[in-house]
Amino acid sequence: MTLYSLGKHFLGHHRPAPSSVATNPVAAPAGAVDTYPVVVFHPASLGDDIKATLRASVAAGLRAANATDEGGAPVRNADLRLVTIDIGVPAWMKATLTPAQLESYSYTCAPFPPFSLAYMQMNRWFTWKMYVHPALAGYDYYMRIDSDSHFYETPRVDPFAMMRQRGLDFAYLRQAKDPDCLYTGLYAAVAEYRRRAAISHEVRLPGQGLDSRAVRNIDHVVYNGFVGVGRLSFFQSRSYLAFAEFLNEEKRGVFTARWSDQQVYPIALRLLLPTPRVQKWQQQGDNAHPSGFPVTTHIHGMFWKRFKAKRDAEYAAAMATPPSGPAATSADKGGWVYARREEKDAAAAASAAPSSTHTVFGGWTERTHDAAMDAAVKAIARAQNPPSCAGARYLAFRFRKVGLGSEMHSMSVALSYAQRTRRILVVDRASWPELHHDCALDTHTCYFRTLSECSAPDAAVAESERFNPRGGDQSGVPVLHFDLKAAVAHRSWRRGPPAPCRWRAVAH
Amino acid sequence: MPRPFQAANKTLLWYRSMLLRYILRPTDETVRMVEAERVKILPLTFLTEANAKAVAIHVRMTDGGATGVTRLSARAFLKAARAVTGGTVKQALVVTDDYAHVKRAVANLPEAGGMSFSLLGEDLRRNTDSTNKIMSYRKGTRDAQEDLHAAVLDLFLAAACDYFVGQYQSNFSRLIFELIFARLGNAVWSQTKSLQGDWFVNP
Repeated sequence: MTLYSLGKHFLGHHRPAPSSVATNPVAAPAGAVDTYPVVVFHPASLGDDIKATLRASVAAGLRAANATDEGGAPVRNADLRLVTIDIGVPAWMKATLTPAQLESYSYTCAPFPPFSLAYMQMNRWFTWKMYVHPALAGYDYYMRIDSDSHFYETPRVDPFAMMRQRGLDFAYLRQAKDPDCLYTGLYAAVAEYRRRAAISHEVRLPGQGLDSRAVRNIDHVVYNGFVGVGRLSFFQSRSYLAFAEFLNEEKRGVFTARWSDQQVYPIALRLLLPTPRVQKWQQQGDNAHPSGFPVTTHIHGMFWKRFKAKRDAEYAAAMATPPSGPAATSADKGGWVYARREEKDAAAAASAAPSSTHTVFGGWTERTHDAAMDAAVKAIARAQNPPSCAGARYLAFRFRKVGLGSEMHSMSVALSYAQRTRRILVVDRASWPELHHDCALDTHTCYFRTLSECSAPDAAVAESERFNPRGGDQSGVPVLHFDLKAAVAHRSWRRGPPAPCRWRAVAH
Repeated sequence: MPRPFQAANKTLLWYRSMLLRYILRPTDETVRMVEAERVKILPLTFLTEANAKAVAIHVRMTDGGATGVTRLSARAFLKAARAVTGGTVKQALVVTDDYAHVKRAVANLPEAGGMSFSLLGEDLRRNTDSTNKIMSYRKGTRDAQEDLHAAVLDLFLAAACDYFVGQYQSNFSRLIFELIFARLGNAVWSQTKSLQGDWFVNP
């Protein structure tokens, strides 16, 4: 979803809303198409299937951007790089801790659950190692977005244009405050570094003569880490990297006290820059979230969940749309290239077998992006295909010789009853012999996959007792046949009269 | 014995869609058959061009109970399609067993509303016998295999379109709706407009 939203809102088009062009001094001009490169840092364990999904997500975002673009501006190439990283652990940890101790290493600070070693490695990466990685060399600014976050609308302000035009060092989406137990030793370390580096400008940190109100305002302030935009000439500077190394390697607080990236950013900016230029990246508009953030994550409340459901559906639909034939694989001008260097082979392999894990066909899909829906279908499949057919009881469905819609709905009712009575639904092959001239199998399996790998003997189906939900105990009967009339009669619920039909009033 | 599920309930509709998603798992041959038709009649619906989307419209032969009313019904469906799609969609896949009447209705549309849909699916293999379907099945005067073939094609092609206009009275319309539902889940409600109130289930 993260890459999908990047593809949709950044890679293909960054088109600010027309109303914002005149009033927003940093908005890109109408119709401008800016393409920014994307780097995905991932651990070595990332499988080829996930890599293929990542690329497909960007491609789907690009397609969605293009599809919703009334102006029809061409989608430009998406520069996506998948970079394997190994953050590792500091040498002092390897020397002092056993593998078992490393495995269970954690830091506890209520009310949070224990922070794992992996979380601390993440902070090591985002406070220090990321900025020295060659993948970020040669760029002016970066925007970090975590994999659990995505844009819920197109940003009206291009963050990179905003950074450049306003001369910003950092832009954040949200300020928060972390508890004392996450600051153990941090301010003392900062004071020590300030003395060592002979930093002379005033640093607004606690205990330095500020009044209590001012101290409260900056004390323990963090810039939430999941999204941030930074000037790389600062974060890649010798002074910042020395400070980051000091916190990580010398003071070791990233691992011993869970000092985090979002704590380090405001402190480093104030410590190392006399007049840091930091701004909140806020979005205003009809559809903007009240907080002004153009980005959402899974950690927010109900409002975000609603957005997430909507965007997840959009994502599923976009992913269900196959790439546009030649344009998807062409490197020609105007086509897409979402493979680069060593990823080309993997992309080619992925495109050769695009539907092995996520079959999408027409309106039907093998898997969706909704875990509950997939789990429901899997549960139905398990009930229909038990490990052994020995002793299985069956419910046979007889076609009624009506239209496909009616038959399938009747079959769904039958399948529902079969599930509830722990029977296996099968088709009575003799119920519609007229259809056999075009396929050797019964009606259903002529076009659809068989309902079950188990089958009841034809003779037993032919002589089966009628399923009667209001009758006596039929649990011992091996084969029953489904009777829709009996099922309908079983309904204790009755639907009321239909509401007045407003169709013609609206349509004519 | 538990009660059977009912249709007019979002939760139970969700469950029914899951059941149908299992029942309607296409065979490889069905996939090939439908894909071959889709490439022919929906060549521009890959979301590559903004105005190349298609709307599927299901018009039953028996809508209104008479041929004359069917013509009006087709026009109503097309008007609804225009409203739903904001007038931007110019291609309509007409799912019907009475294509000729729909075509005549569309021919009169410019005078009626200024719409200009290009119709898709005219060449689909369909049985256009206008006799009563169920009676003709039972009498053996109608080829049920032909009907089923066309219905399977229509089902998957309609569900693959960008928009769908149907009616809750029709089992086949609901089947398409439930197939779309099985793909999108509850998020489909934010994209659904009911002109029939609570007749089936009101989003």
